[in-house]
Amino acid sequence: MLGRRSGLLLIAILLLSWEMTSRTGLVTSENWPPVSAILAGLVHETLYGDLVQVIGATLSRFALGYVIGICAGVIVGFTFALVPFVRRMFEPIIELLRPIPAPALVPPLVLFLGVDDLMKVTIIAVTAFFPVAINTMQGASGVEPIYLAVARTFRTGPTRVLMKIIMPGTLPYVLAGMRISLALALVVTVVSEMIAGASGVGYYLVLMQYAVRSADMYAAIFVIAALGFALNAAFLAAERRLIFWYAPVP
Amino acid sequence: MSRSRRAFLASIGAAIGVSALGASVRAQSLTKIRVGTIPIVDSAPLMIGIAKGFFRDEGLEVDTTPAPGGAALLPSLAAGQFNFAFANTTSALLAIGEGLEFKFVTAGCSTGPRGPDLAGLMARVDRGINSGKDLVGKRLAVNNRNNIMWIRAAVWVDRTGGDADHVTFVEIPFPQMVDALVNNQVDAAMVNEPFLTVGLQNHHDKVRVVSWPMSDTAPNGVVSEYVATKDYIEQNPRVIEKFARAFAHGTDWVLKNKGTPEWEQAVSAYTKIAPERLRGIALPVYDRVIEPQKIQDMIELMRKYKILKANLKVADLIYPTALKQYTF
Amino acid sequence: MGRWLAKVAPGGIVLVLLLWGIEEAVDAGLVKRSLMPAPTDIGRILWELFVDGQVAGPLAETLARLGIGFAIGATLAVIMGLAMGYWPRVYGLFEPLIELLRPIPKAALVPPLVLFLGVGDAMKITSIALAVFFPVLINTVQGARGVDPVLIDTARTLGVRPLPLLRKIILPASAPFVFAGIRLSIALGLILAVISEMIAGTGGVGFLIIDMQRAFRVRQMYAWIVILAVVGYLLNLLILAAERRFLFWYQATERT
Repeated sequence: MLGRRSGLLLIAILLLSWEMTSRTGLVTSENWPPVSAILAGLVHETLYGDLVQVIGATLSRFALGYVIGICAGVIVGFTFALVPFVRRMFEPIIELLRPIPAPALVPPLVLFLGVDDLMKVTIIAVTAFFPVAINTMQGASGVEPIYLAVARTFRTGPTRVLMKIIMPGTLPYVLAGMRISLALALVVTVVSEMIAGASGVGYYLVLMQYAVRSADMYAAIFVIAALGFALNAAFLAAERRLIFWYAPVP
Repeated sequence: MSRSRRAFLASIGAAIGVSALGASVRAQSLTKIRVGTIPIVDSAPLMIGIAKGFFRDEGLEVDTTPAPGGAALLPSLAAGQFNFAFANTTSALLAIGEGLEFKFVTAGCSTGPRGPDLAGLMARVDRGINSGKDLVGKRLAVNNRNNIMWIRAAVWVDRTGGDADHVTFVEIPFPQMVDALVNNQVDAAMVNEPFLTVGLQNHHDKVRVVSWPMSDTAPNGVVSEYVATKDYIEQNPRVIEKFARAFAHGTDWVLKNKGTPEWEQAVSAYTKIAPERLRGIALPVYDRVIEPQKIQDMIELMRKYKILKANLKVADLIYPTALKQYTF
Repeated sequence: MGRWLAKVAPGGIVLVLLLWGIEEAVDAGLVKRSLMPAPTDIGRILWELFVDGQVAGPLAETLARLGIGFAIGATLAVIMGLAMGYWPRVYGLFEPLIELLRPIPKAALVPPLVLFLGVGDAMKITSIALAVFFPVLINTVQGARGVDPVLIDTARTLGVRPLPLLRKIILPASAPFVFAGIRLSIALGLILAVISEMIAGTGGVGFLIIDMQRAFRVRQMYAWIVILAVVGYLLNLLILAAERRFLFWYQATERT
């Protein structure tokens, strides 16, 4: 697509200007290495270093936390939509916990969950939980009343109503929530590794920064960008397939 | 089955059993401990000690959890997530003053008698900053407030004609300090190694070191130690002794090999700093034992600067292993 | 009145039970007081902070940064989102760059941010604007693209020029999506405001949280975390109320 190509060209131009400003000394800083050095470092660390393991560690943590989070989100979202009393019980606490950023949550969580994967996976799951729960709840409560009325006229059982009317209607919302969660969960994975990590891309990033290897630090940033891009593209492709044979709601 | 075959099988079974038992006994004889550390040059005795097997020799299997900064280590230690943690003296005393029951179990690092130091006060060449007096009403970057860098910088300001209460201390992470200084975001910065040397190299015409607050205000002053919780110490005195001995062995090796290519490789391995970079930087002094008077000095200093309220007794804080001299 | 009580009561009760549970656990010594203070202690500190008037200053600082960052980020995002939603060429030009920049945690961008923007408000406001930008942009694009093509074609046939078309037809039609994006972005913006204050600075709620943590003044740290949580909660309610006012004509039955 013509548009796509221009997008890649834009990126190339930006990277080129980065390279120029660094090499000509227009911007002199340890924290502004030339792009060529970054790419060279990236290749070197992938082939001879442990960048692959590092990425693997991040992805496995992310995957685990994400899956747990979205499952919990869907369940809670439906529960809140179908049983408003439960929603009223827990919504205030959830709404109070939501604004607290990960760095502020880490000290109390470390208390109870330690500094290892358990704590990180928990934070990731909690982050992934919210958008999915909110979207699911919104989607499930927003189902066309007329469909529900028709179902009632025909005395359709609650399970069938759930499966055939509420779920398909909620699906676009759930998927939208999952996509938002994807991006947020990846960010939180990296941030938790930056704060309390011993492995993973986030930790690698900080380690390289303190080892005065900023080219490798930026390489880690490039990797994160690429990971996010790839995961998002994969999700969109899967979403298209899912919507296709699940049939869109009119 | 014939008798001889049965005997043969039995003897093989016995051999397997014995070796398995032996393996499990050997595995059980290693006590697992978790140490929270920061992957910087200061932690060389611990990290190199582990790499060289000194801890294994003492029957300890060490799981190091590196943190990017010391801030998260002490609360995690108090929560029992670690058994030992690396800490700068000021933060450790602050924590103890607020009720966290830590004790110093081994020495860490100190500054030397004079500069160049592991941290220096840098300023732009064209700003005319030469003393604390010049910093009044200006901005001084430190990595964290309420830690050793901050307090030594504050003391230096006070002692060179300035007033630390009238200096704005801006918190900036070490890797960003020189950038902020060069761009006039701050007027001075307390930069530690290796960022100090790298900053001077990159901007030799723009920035310079004004002073070495750490050794200027407190020559041979203490900087860091390793701490453990009172409960853990009471429950595992043997482990503490083993840790201290293995650690002392590490310190011994580091003191004997400081500056050699082998040392460079060893430090580079865990800090990921390129060996060439390690050559030019100022190194901390690795202590064999803690000198109680130095801790006392820090307590008094912290009380004077009103960041410590409790009147801590040094004798309660230092565990005997930190005072013991080992020979190897 | 009774209705409101019925709505709020269950949540309130659960909250109170939770706090009471923590209080008991701390008193019973199950949790170290130096790590997790009793809620009543935190409450006392909160009270002192309010009485001494120490809350207003840092809170105002953080909220001001959030406000400015949000205004900049959201405005840019809506403009760009409408453009990207309407002109496929614009979409193709920016989409790869945006999809690459979005996953990067702002905390990882600290080195270039501090290098180019310093350690003051410019850096923090930019971080906030960045955090606000992406969710609003994505939602606006989705909304703009989802507008009924028949509506757009009709307008075009009637001779409506692109800019008025965007302003008067596409923007209102995308409004629900834009608002959803705004709600998410306010939450993220607040988080970034706090994080950027934690990383570099001298003031604000985030700075205080981390400062208290480093000084091991745990009760104060939790007090400020509570303030942060309450502020976030209230902001969210505010946005919901605004959403209801602006979208009162949007029924749940509406489908794009």
